[in-house]
Amino acid sequence: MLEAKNINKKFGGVIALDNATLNLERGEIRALVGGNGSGKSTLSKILAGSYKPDSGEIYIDGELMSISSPKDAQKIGIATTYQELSLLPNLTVAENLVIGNLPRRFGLLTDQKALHAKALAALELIDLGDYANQMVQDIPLDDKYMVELVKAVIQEPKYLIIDEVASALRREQVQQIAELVEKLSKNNCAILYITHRLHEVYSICKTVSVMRSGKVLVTSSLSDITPDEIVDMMMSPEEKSEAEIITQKAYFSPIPYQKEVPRSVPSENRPLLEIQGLLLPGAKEPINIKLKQGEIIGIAGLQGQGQSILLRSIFGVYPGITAKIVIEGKQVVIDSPKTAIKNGIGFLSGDREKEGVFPIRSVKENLEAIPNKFILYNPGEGEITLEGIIKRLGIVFSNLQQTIRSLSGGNQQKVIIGRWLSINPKILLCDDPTKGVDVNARQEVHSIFKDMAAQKFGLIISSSDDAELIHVADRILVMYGGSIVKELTGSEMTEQNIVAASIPFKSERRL
Amino acid sequence: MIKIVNRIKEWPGLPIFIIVLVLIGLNASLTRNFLSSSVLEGFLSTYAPLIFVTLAQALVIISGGIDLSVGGVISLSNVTTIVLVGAGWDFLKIGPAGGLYICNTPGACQAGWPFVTAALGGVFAGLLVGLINSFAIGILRVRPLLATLATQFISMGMALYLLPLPGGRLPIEIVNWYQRPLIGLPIAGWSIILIALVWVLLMKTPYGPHLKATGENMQKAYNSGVNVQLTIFITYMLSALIASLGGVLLTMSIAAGDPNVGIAFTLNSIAAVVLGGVSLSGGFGEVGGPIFGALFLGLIVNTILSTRVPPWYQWLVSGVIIVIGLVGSISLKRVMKKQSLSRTE
Repeated sequence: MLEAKNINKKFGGVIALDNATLNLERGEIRALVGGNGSGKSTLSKILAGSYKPDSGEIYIDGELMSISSPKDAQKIGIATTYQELSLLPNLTVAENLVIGNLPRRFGLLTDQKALHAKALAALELIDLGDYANQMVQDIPLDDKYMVELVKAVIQEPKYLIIDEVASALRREQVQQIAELVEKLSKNNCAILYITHRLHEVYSICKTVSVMRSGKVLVTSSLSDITPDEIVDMMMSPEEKSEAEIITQKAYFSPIPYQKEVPRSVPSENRPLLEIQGLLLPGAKEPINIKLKQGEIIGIAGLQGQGQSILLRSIFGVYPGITAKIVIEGKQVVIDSPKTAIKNGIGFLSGDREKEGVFPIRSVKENLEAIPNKFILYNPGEGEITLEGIIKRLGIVFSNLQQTIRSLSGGNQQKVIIGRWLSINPKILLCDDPTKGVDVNARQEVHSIFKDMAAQKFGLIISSSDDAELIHVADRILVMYGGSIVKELTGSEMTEQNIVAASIPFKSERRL
Repeated sequence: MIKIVNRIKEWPGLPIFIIVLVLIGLNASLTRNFLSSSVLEGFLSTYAPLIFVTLAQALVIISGGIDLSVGGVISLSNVTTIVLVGAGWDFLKIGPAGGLYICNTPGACQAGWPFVTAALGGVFAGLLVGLINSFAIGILRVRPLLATLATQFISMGMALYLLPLPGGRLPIEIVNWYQRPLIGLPIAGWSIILIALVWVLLMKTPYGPHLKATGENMQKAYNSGVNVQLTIFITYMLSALIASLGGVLLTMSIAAGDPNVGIAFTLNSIAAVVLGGVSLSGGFGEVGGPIFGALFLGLIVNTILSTRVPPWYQWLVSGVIIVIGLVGSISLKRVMKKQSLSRTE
């Protein structure tokens, strides 16, 4: 049994954990849920030895442990996956899996044979054996998350912490994880499953702990607690106005995103962005898109069907991919992100670490990262604008000078949205904008999007979460093999229709 | 077979390898007998030290750092070796600075050490500098640039203290032994092969993946259970070790001590590593590219000397050739990348 008692942790002035206490029995599958900055990740990183607590004790089977490094944690049987991935892109998958414990030969050399045998056996668990000798940088992102999980499982842990691994995964992969977790639990391994998705909680876990403001509030069997009650506990009392609770509950229920009446975009709205003849590499047909003022277009499809290349090529990241682009009736040439920004296009990436934040710079610097006349030449007024943006987005932080990586994922993403708002774009392209963002912040981001649409922005949002698209988009374009294979509008926008259209050979029969 | 061809095509050192071949061809046409064994022996003996230092630098650069102290380490190891050969422990009695000059008086110093022991002393002195680097960077987390800049001064200063002016000498047998061919290659050539083999073997120990992991992303390496501090510690020790061995080779090559002999090595080694296709941002690198990078720098000097460029233009010309080499290797890389892209499509 693992007991974490009265764990405290502060980052600067911000209290991340406030006497958090958590017990975990061997063989248990426990979900750990909580809102933005409730301390889930901090607690898991302390158990994993990646952070040191300011105070508090950790006991294993009643014995006091000192965990001062991830290696220590591994030794006593605690393994963890990292939300931001701990995989090293420049090593092979096999090397990554066992890097903390490389098998040796003659006491000195790495035993390549043993390394491969071990890695292969573990990869077979999730049918990814083919990857053993590939560099991590060459495998798709969703499989990286699966490999991250295997990297923890291969240590044969007694306590396994899974931190938000499934948010980028496809349904089948989440199913694989569920099966793997079940198997591990039968072998007497305890699992702490951290997630932002309540339907995963109910389909994978048996018990749940709810965290809020650095405390573990409740631990309960999932059969004794309803999703409504969980959401209720995740929110602090001051957050709950009555109306809000109702919408939030509907929103967080295990069948996520209750369907709203779709907003209709007035037909007299002028077209904002027209893309004609955009041919992605390997695609059969060119892409044509018309985006109106105030419209939100969703892009759906299986992962890697060209969604991210489409958005990035509109944003000028791939100057080799050309198309006729008309913005507000004027044809423009976009050959770099710089010209895209000049033409009023913003780009919000879900891959924050790579394409969003400058992690060691301050919140202010991150907000002002785009060269902007207004802010550069009018520092006084610039400050006012920033404050306006911060208020409007509800970014939570203690001061403008703190580094952005001390914020939670959701707040970081809001800072990036703020960065784009500060240059007042007409069009915002979003690639999986709420990846790794918790439910509360996700909903806030969605309402920001809708707010922007109401102010005549145009948005194109690609997402791996179909329900999210149905929730925010006015119409949904489904992509397959680099082309748009289906357009869904109004009441056609259902998860079933999206899934059917995502796999064209099926859709031909059904539609 | 296709696999081997692909591996060669993906080898980051390929551009510099091709450029080195071109330069060798150029030299062969400019200099008579360039490909004769005696010229090659001389060339290898002269540039073996740079190759050593380059391989030392490569380790540090793969770890994501930089080692500005390698030049100082070379000087220190060279000077220490020469002083110990000349005076042995007596250099302590006579007082370090200028000890050797007193020894130049016949009969003043009788206690000179045999070369091998003296060379070990030189390597030991270099390792002391490495220890400071390792401690400051690995344990105290001082930035590599600052820490090694400081130890560069320290080691240069120590070398100057031990031997204020160039001087001293080596027994002639040692010099002859170093340049004498042994089964077709001079000792310098064999030592290059040996150090390259050791380097490759090193990468096949767990240290190899740990080094690359640390250079790629320290936090992720740490989270994966890699002992990052130890890896960095070992890296700077190894760098100092290999660089001081280079200093010993240099001593055998110039047969004297010179406190300023190492200055040029620092930047040359960094240039050679980069020319060899190793990224300064860390995480990647192999043995071949840096070696050819060092050979390239040596060949430039050779070309300039053999074409009798007037001395006052030599820096200018070699600088221009380096720029051409860099631009050439980058464009070659681009061309090859495009080819491999079109192949996959």
